[in-house]
Amino acid sequence: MSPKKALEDAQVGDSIGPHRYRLTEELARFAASNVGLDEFEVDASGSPIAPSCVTDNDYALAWMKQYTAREAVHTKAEHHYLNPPIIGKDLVVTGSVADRYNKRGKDFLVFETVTHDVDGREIVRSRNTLLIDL
Amino acid sequence: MSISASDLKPGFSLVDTKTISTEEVLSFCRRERELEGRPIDLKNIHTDEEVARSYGLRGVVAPGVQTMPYIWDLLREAFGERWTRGGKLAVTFTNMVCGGDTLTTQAVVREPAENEPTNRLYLDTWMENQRGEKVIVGKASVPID
Repeated sequence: MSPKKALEDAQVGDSIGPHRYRLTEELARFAASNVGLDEFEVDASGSPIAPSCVTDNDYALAWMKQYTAREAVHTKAEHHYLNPPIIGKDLVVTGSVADRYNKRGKDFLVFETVTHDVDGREIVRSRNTLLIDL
Repeated sequence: MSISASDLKPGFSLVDTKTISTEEVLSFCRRERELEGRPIDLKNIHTDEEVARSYGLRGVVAPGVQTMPYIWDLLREAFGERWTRGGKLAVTFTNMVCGGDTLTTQAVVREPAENEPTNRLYLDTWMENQRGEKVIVGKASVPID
């Protein structure tokens, strides 16, 4: 694995991820309790599903694969929730640096990511903006 | 409560209010890091009240991934599967949320803009604190038949 780059060296087109993780019941319960849900819903096949907002931080876990973690401010988020994630499945996050710009003297990075489960179901497509020049 | 998206008219409003305590912010940040396998001893504006106050903040700052799901949940409760299978949410974090803040989350149905497909229901959404300051502003949409 190549050494991590500094986040400020990120360039448009850089790949981020893949980040693979198991959507455990513990993780699902954490996301559910944040929004006051006591029980998991089940899908048509009877599998328990997690609140899809459990994936809202996937982009950060993906960029941390390539770049060293540092303080940054999350300024924008866009999510297209496609399928609820099934508890117990592995999820894989991939993506890229979609944009980098300077606004009023501050540097911003934009990440686009897609989260799939191991069966190939798309779970969420996301676009997140970070202010990296604090 | 699940609402039929196709029956909704512009101006229809969804609202929810919640107070987020300092302990909820601290425990969210600690637990999130634990579950994601990241170091939990990091001191920053999210995890340490002293650090937050040194930046002139009123208290620890709730991360966006803690507060944005309140909008997700407002729309899930209203639209059920329409939201969880096809919902879109785009937000800008406009102000910091500190432990102890009372947050009112709203979503209001609006007319589609000229360039927007008519097979979706569009909402303006925002969250404001007890001072009336908007902390999140954004747009959402759900598929309709």
